[in-house]
Amino acid sequence: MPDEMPTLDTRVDGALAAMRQPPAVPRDAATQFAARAVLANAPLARARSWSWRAAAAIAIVATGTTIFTSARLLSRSDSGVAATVAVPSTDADAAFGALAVPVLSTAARPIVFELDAPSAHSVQVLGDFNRWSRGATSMQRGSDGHWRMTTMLPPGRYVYAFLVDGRTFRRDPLRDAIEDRDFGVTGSELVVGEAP
Amino acid sequence: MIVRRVLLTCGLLLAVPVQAQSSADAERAAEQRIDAIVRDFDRRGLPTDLLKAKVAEGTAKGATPTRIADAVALLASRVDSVARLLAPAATTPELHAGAEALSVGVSAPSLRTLRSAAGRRSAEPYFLFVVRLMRRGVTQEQAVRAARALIDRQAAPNTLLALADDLARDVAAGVAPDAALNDRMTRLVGGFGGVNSAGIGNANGLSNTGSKP
Repeated sequence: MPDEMPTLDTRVDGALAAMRQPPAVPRDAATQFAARAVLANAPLARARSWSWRAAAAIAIVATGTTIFTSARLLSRSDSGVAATVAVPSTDADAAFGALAVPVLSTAARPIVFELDAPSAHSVQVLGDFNRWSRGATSMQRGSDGHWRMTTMLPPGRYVYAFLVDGRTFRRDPLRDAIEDRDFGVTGSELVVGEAP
Repeated sequence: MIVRRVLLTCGLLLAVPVQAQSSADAERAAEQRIDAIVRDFDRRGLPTDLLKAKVAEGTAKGATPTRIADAVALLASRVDSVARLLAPAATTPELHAGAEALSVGVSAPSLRTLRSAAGRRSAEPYFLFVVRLMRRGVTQEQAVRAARALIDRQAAPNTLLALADDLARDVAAGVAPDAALNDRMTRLVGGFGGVNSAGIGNANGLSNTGSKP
């Protein structure tokens, strides 16, 4: 028996080595198969893709539900431990209760500026975000007399004011007024949150 | 009568250039002052963008150079204070928000407390949260305590934003600021040692100094 052991080991090792080797596929055949799968949109590949996607969707939903439940419990507990939550809602209760995704984007978001000034000939937005530059951000007048403009702003706090007809500053009545102790021109404050 | 008119005319003719000269001198002095402040910031590695933005703001608003220089000097003083408070490192948004916090009366110890509690996270959202609350009439003590409680619970910046918005609505509806904050915090995190919670005091290390009356 001891004499047979090396022989057996050798054969097992050989078999394992053979199994580890990838199957020999001609290079042309492999290329043609890949090309057919991609370009011809083979039904088999499509079916596999859909089944894979369905499985992934189920996994994501399950994971999301678990995270949601855990975060909600943690954020409501008094243990001092809570999940990082954020939603674009303006209601803080909802912000803590309704978990979106725990990863927030600091990317710029579209912010709308609007001013009702039907008799104005021109309206600009001047603020921190455009370095108070005259002519940098002009608004467009709508048929209803409202001047509107949309710009992309990253999260942060901004102070701004409308410049009407190139000479009169007006604050935004839709946002918080901010007293200007430096120059005496009351402006508005805008705080852009993080995009979920 | 004629002599008086001649003298008056001569006086006016002389006064205009003198006034223009003094105005030009004042403008030059203001520019030199701003330039010195900006160069000093640059030399010390402090962000100059905030100062330049203040100059741009003053220019856009038609302020005199002297007034712009005064505003820049005040801002520089606050940013400098915040930089020292948050040493050894602070981001530009933190410096900006910290300077804003100082301008509404947040004390230096409170800023330091919040920065320390924020840990690796940016303290900017918490500074701005306190600023917004105090602008609505919340006392510094309550605002800082609420911020501290939210930091401890790792509240996201958007949660702070939403809470400040909610509080603004409450105050606009006639609710007393501190009571509104206490109510919102109770609903949000089950209380934070606010106005109705006795016995918390300074247990969380917050300073009571500099509170708004």
